[in-house]
Amino acid sequence: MFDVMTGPPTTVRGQIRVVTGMDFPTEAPALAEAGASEVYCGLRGAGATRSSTNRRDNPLCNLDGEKQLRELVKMAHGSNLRVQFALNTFYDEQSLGVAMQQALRAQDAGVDGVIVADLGLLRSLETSRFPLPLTLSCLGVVYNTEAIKFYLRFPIRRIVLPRHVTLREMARLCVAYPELEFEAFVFHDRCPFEDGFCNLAHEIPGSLQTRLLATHAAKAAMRLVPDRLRHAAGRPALACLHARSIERKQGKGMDERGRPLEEKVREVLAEHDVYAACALCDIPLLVRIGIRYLKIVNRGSTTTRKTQTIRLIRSALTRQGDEGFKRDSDHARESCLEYRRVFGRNCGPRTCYYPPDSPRHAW
Amino acid sequence: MPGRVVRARFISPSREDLSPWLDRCDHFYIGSEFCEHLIPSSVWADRMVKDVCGKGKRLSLLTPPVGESGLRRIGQLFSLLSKAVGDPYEVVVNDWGVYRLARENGLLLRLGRLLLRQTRDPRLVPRDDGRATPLATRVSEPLIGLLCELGFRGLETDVWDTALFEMIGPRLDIALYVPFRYLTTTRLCAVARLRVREASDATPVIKACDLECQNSTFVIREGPLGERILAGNTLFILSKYLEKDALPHVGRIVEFDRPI
Repeated sequence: MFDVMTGPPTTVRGQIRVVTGMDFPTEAPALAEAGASEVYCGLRGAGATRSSTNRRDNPLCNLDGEKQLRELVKMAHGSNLRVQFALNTFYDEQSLGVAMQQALRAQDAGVDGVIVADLGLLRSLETSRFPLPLTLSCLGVVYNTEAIKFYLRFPIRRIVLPRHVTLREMARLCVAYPELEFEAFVFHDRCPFEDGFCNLAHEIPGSLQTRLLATHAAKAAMRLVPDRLRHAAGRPALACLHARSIERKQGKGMDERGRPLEEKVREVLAEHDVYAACALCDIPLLVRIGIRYLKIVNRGSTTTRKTQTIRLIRSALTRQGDEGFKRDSDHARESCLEYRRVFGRNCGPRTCYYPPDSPRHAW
Repeated sequence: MPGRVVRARFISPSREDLSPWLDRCDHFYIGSEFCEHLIPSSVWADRMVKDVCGKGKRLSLLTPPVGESGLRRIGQLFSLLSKAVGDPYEVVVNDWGVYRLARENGLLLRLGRLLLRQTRDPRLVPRDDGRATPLATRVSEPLIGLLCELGFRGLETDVWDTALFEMIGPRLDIALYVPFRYLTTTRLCAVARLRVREASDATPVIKACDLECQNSTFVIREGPLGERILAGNTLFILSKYLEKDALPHVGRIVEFDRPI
């Protein structure tokens, strides 16, 4: 087991793939030009509840139908982008049937792989000898090597590591399973709760908001709205983080500054900047420990914002010279400056995707 | 259709005295579903086994999602309990790595509520657990078949889900947890950070935890989710629950006097 900080540098320049969300076919050339290697997409929901077959119920994050999926695949392949199709939620009997149908149609459309979380779907795909490579979604929640061994009963080629796995844990998993591909998040949507164990809805399927956003006119109009505003309109503040009115029910005591503990809890919950989360500083480490796919969580964002973040990652990767990466502190400093240039504010612990094990940041 | 309903009781890791419950319950749950810092110590677990099994009661061990070090601790606990309990005992699994370990140790398996994916959002699934909630179900026939193949004897839920009960009931025993329904959980525990000087230290899996969650729970009132309880690293809501309605569907009712 090597140490992630000093371990053997790998000569992987050019092998690192940047994975980005894609919401409509004509985005492909811009994403490819910015440096993306692979895109992921999903289809919007249908039926009474209008739930989608992936983790995003927001219509802005999903394609309208099979025809658009075919167009997207054609455009993406034309720009040398591989396409992953997201079926990464959990299904009942009826929705499992829909998901299986969509998997087969996506195969017909020419996608290069499918992202899966549900064991029922994995079993069904395995039984039907589904030929495309499968990626285990972060919703599969893999924290340890034995959990991976469990999932290897299915024909999984790649694992998306959950957001709350530490860099050291990632390193152990990558070393233990060199035959697998690992993907890690590097931008946006670092929820303070574990996605795979969260039973809250990001959007309410069938609500007025999602129905309005599902119309072609609304989708076209939203593409003109600046990213920050669009994000706010497309996804209301996460319900789990509302904590203005908090009371202590049990126990007593103050924090280290003499404040009531409920005040501190409110501060801790409010500190997460879910949207602007970033792991630029850690890209050298991620590459060194064996992560080959760097994922941006950006379905529903504008193409401009998508290309900006892809370029940030590519820029971080090009800082890798022939002798490996620069010292981490230099790289981190440059990353912070680039983050500020794009997002218009400083990064910090509340935007950090993988805060280090030590209590404070190193710089 | 289940026969006699077993009444079980959750014993939180901070509880030392079982005597108030020993005459009223036949079955006890120990351990934690949510946090690897709450995996029982060997000393505590040994004492509980003596208290519970010594009185002829049954024991189930709750296990949380774990990293590599947590997996080692759980392995040690399995060995200790196997010696102390004698017969194979029940383990509630919330991590597929722990599942493999439990299976290798020949333990009786139950699927925990973290791995039984259900919609628990109170905006979609009402708090009134007496109502059918088909929206909650995220279980399919292939999944049930797989669970049976994997050796599960039962599963644990905290959502009133008639569709689930009817689908699973004949093949797997159902335990209904009352009255707390978990909504979401995390490794970035807000309560564990109460004693950390810098609130912004968002490191996952805090190494030094003083188990503040065993002394402090919080109620959050505003927001679209309504009143909810923050206990340790997990958000809960309180569900309304009518026992007489539950009895025909479940084989076991597990009562919690505190969420974790």
